[in-house]
Amino acid sequence: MASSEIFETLSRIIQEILPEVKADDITPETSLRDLGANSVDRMDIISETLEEHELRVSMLEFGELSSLGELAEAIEKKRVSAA
Amino acid sequence: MHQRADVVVTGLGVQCALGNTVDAFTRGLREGAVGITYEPPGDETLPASCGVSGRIAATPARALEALAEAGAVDERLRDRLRHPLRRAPRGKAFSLLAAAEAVSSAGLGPRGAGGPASWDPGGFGLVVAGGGPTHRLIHEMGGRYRESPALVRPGYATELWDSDLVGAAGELFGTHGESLTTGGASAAGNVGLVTAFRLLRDGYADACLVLAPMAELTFVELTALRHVGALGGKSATAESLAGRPASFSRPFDAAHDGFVPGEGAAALLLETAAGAAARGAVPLAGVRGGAVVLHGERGTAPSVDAEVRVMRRALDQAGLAPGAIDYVNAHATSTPLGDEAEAAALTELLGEHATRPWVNATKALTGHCLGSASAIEAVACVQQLRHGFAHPNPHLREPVQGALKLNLVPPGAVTAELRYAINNGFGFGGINSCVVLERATAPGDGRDDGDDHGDRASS
Repeated sequence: MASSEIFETLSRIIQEILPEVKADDITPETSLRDLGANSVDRMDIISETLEEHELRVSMLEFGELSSLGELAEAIEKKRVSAA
Repeated sequence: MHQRADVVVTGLGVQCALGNTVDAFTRGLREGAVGITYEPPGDETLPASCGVSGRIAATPARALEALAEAGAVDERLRDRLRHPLRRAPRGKAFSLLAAAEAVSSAGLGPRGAGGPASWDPGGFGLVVAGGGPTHRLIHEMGGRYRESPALVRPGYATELWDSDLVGAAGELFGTHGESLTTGGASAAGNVGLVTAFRLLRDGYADACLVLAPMAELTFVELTALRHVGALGGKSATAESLAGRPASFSRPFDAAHDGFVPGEGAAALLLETAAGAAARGAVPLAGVRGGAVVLHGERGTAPSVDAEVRVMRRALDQAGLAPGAIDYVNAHATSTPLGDEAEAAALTELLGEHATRPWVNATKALTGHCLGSASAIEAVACVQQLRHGFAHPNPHLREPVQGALKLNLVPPGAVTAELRYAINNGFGFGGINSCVVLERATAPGDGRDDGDDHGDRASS
């Protein structure tokens, strides 16, 4: 699925911002909160993912999504609509 | 009334153009190594002088390795630092590295671990001496905003406060006592030391980390400093600079024409003498006193009167006469006005003892590290007191007229038994500061053995 590329970016940035998180723990079902990201970490992770994919949208609308899978799909939708 | 505590230095850390460990820094001091280099500024509208500075050659990650190789950083701290170093702006990264070395050399680890069972994190204070977010970060976020507000990093919401480093250091080192930031422009390091000295002396803390962060200037700030006439190397060209270290930072030399900026951060761990003794920490030096006075002028001009006044006040607090001083680490930035004022102030303060103390200026080696300069120079004082030398003034050829009576260290280092040092720091805004340091006395080495300094190397 198309959002897997986004998921990979998310996963990489999560490990950069939260080095104590193990790669295996990052699954589409987990949430950033589950992984121990505080509110600033969560926003930084989302905004850096958006930046890498050159999406100039506010990250605020992604804040309430619970799982990484949902988050990747929502970002993918933005990418499609921006294209 | 609480009895006033004696204060000692038990930990040192420094990152600057002379190296990434206190040992490397000390070697550089002894050799009179000049860490000032030229790199083309990369914008042909800028003069060549904007490319001259005392750069830290290593990356923060490499600096951490250097500390680890030298055994100068606690292993647990090293592991915990890797992550913040990867993400932090350069200035913040080097600041945390300096702090990590100071904490480690004091025998403490992350969150104060390594202290005695009685170690109270609530009594471990922190003074971030100067700083706030680096200018580079502010400009970067401004640039992002102009491109698109969506690009402004959320993390900037915490990084924009002057206390961001208070939080970062608190998390790493477990300073849970009174923690604050102090300003002071180019005197900030000393202002922080004076603040920590008082917290300890008056019982508000048992230990206090003084962290003087690295200023990270961009060409915007450098241009303002150039426009105000403060930067040195005014006649330099790219051709004249190619391939050799620059000699524009020449405090007290008649050919000086302005300061050369440097990158650098320093940290000193201060403790009450009783607290250090209780946990078996070895004092590296004593802090005998310190003072800050203003001369009530917002601009850049120095004041001889205020400089004399602040040195007198610091010495009074230390219970010392000017004739007891063995060594002066001058503020001396290599600006004609500033050097002449300080030479006049020292000559007036010392009077008949003008030829007694050795005088040098560390900025000739490191460049002017601005807010952290006087903290880096406090580390230089401690190391010279400990190891019995005064570092060279490498570019001193013809001393300025006002300094003729002073005992300026020549371009080669001198061996000297030093006991009392004063460390000057003066900043824009009419801020004058002075800290008095004393060589740590070994057990059995009488502390009140009079003023006989006959063993001191003669000039």
